[in-house]
Amino acid sequence: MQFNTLRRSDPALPALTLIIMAAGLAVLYSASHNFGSQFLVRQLLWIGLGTVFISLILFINYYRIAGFSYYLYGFNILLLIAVILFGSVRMGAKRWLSFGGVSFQPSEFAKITVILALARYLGDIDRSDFRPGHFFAAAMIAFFPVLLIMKQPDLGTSLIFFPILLVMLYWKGVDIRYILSLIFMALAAAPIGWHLLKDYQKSRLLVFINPNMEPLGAGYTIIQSKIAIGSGGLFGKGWLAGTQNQLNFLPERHTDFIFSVAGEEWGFMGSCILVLLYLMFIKKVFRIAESSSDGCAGLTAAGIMTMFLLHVVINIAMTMGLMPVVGLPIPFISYGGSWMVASMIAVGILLSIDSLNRA
Amino acid sequence: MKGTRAIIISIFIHGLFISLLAGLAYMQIVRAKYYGDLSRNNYIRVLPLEAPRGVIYDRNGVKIADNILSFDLVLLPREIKALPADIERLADALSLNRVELAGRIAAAKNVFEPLVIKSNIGKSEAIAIEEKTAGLAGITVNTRPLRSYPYPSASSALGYLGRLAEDELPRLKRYGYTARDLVGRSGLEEYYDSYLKGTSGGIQTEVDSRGRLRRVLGYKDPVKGKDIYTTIDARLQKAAAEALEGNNGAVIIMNPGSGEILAIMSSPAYDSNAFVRSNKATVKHYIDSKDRPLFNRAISGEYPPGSTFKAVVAQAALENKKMSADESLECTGAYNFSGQNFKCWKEGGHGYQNVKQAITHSCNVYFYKVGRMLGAEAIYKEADAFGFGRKSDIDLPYERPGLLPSPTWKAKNKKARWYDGDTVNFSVGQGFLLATPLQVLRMMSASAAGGRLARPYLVYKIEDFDVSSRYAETVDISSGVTKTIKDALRNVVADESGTGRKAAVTGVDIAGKTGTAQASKGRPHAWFTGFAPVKEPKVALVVLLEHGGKGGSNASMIAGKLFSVARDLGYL
Repeated sequence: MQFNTLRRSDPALPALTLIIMAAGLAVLYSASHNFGSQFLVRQLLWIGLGTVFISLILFINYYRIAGFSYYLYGFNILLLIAVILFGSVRMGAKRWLSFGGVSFQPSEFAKITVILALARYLGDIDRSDFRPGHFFAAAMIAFFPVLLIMKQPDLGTSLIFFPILLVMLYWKGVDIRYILSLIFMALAAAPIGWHLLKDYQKSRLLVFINPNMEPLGAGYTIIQSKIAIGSGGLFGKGWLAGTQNQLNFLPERHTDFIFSVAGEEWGFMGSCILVLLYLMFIKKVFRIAESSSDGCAGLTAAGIMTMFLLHVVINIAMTMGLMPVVGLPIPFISYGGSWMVASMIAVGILLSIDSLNRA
Repeated sequence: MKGTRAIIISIFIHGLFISLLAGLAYMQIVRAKYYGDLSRNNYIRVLPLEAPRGVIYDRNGVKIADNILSFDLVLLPREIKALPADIERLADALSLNRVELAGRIAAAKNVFEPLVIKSNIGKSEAIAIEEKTAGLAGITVNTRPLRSYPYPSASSALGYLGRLAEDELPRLKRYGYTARDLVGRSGLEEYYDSYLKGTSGGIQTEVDSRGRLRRVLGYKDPVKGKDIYTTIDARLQKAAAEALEGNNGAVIIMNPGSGEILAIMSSPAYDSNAFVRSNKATVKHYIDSKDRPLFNRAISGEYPPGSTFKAVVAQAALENKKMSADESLECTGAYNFSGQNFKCWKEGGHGYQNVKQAITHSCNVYFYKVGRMLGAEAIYKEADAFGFGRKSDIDLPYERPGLLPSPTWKAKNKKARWYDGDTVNFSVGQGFLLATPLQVLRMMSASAAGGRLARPYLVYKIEDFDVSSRYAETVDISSGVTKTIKDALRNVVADESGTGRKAAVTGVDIAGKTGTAQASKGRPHAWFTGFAPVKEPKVALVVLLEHGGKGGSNASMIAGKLFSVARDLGYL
């Protein structure tokens, strides 16, 4: 059955995923080889785990998974509560749950389960029958996990749920006034949200406005990242030859700032190709969402597309100093188990939807 | 969901990606050079290696300016900045104020540039600090050459070093100076700076984000400056310093024939070591003190030469045949003309005096009369020939020309006629006339050497290159006149009635002239200038004591002391 579904689906999406992953492994090697091979080995391990999940999803198929949407959502909420109660603290944030030596971030998976639950909920409603009650229920589905995630705290992840909900409602075709009121509510909530932020989060946002405010503190990463990308020039300094990277001027360069390494070592040519690969990937997902006859599947694909789009655009813009540092990793390249597996699960769901579309 | 909403989303997606690509193109193509420079600044460091300055030797090969190894405690602000606990530990280890140290680190402009926390620590202290700060990142002890002056008494000749001022840098940059360089600020250190100064070297290194050395990209050896060899005798210099101790004044000892300076001292003295060892309180005292220790009185101080100038007037009179050696003039204790009364220093007067007696007794009236016979122009010409009113071009900076007046000068500068009274004052070394101790010495040396006006100098050799040949000027003096004058000058010291008796030293044939110059306020300045032995002069000297009273007293005594030291050292 797996093989049948795979044979039916468009090979472009898995091919693009693999190319981006391969490029990502090369960048990760360059960014981390000074510290030994453990980063590369573990990333490969997670890609392996992600492959198992993709196979599993294709085996189960999307519709059966959609049937469990609310359970998966509920389970994920429990995990987020568990993080607050028993989570382990790393770098000042409580994001990880550990089970027998293996730890993961439930917030990364929450993106998928929220999309699945929202798609299920919105998919079941007739567009002409959409009422304010539905709107509030959908908002509740999206924002309940946000409250739990903000507590960790994880600014980037919490903020991403809002545009996902927005795009999914828009995709569903609800009255434009719902969309506008959602945006208005977000703007109204921003000042309140500011007060809820931790000091380091505030300083990150302020530093975005003026990186030279704290050239050795929060602004340091932005400045060094911009230098890395800009100094790459047209053709780059060469793989393993980026001075910003190899001489440790770039902090967090294997996770959130890994794109800077690519920009420095591969130059405009390399970073351009990478950006275009992501564009092709997003367009493929868009095609899948568009060609879904089923409302629920189309909404799922649209939600996943929004998630990937935001991760790619915000991450790259952040490394170029065009957006505040909010800690959103770039898909298939940034080092990190939970996000890699979650991304691959999302790809699995897309492949399953695609194959069903063609069935 | 199809139609317009999908199109809008698609446009939105493409818009975002185009923005990313445009941003990348801007940063990586348009601004590539800017960011490239920033990235190179990040990882390439040049650690300057200071070059030792050339050594300065005295005439006997004794080092009077040398270099020793200095240990500096330096810190890399970038490294320590992230770790406030380290700053506290460091402050405690060095017994420094925590807040002050943290402030200095925070104020560091370039966090990659090593910051000198404590300079010139001893070797044992350096080792102790290295032990105490073991495990603290970014703290090292650097070594560099430090200028050292084993004979602080030679400071008047040597000068001192200072940092280049910001406004000097543009001018000196093309001569290889950098902002970190120490340059000579006075004395030989300044005059010969371009020779003494070495060429800094440096290590170009690649460093990582914590400033740790990754690899050396290039190395340039520092080149030591050229050694210079002086005519100074450190022992005489020391004697001069001791003799002047407690006075404001100057002493110069010179070989009258060749112009070799054996000692040059200005008092109050300073210690050149204070400047390089950042002894701030002492340096501040040097700068602020109203006695102006940094002012070299020997070449920059301008005083009326007083009676020492009579030697010039006497030679002018004899050479111009206005007077003969035997001719006498009467001194009644005062000289009256056109209603003015010019006094001799001796009440009741000297009676009849010939030129020898007039010099021996320093009779003013004799010279008033002779001066009027000569006229201002003739005195001016003679004084000019003896080097007054212009620089001697000694190899020291800030020499002053003094002031040699003439009727033309007065008309031009004072807008007034030259009166006979001016001539009277002029003939006893008063009035407008101003001279540096070096000019007075030079005049006396020329009188001793039969008119050979030597060019004084301190440096005879730079590295292996002989620079001792200096052309001398000559004053047109017949040998007969020279003999008469030398006899008279000998009597000043040797005769019972001579004004300079206190300069006498047993076993040494000394000649000289005292001077008591009226100062504009306070006690008069005291002069003694002379030479020995009279027949073949080997040593000439000048002593000036600001407000030192009568020249026959303290100034002559100091001169006597120095002659006896010169004798003991084998010069006489």
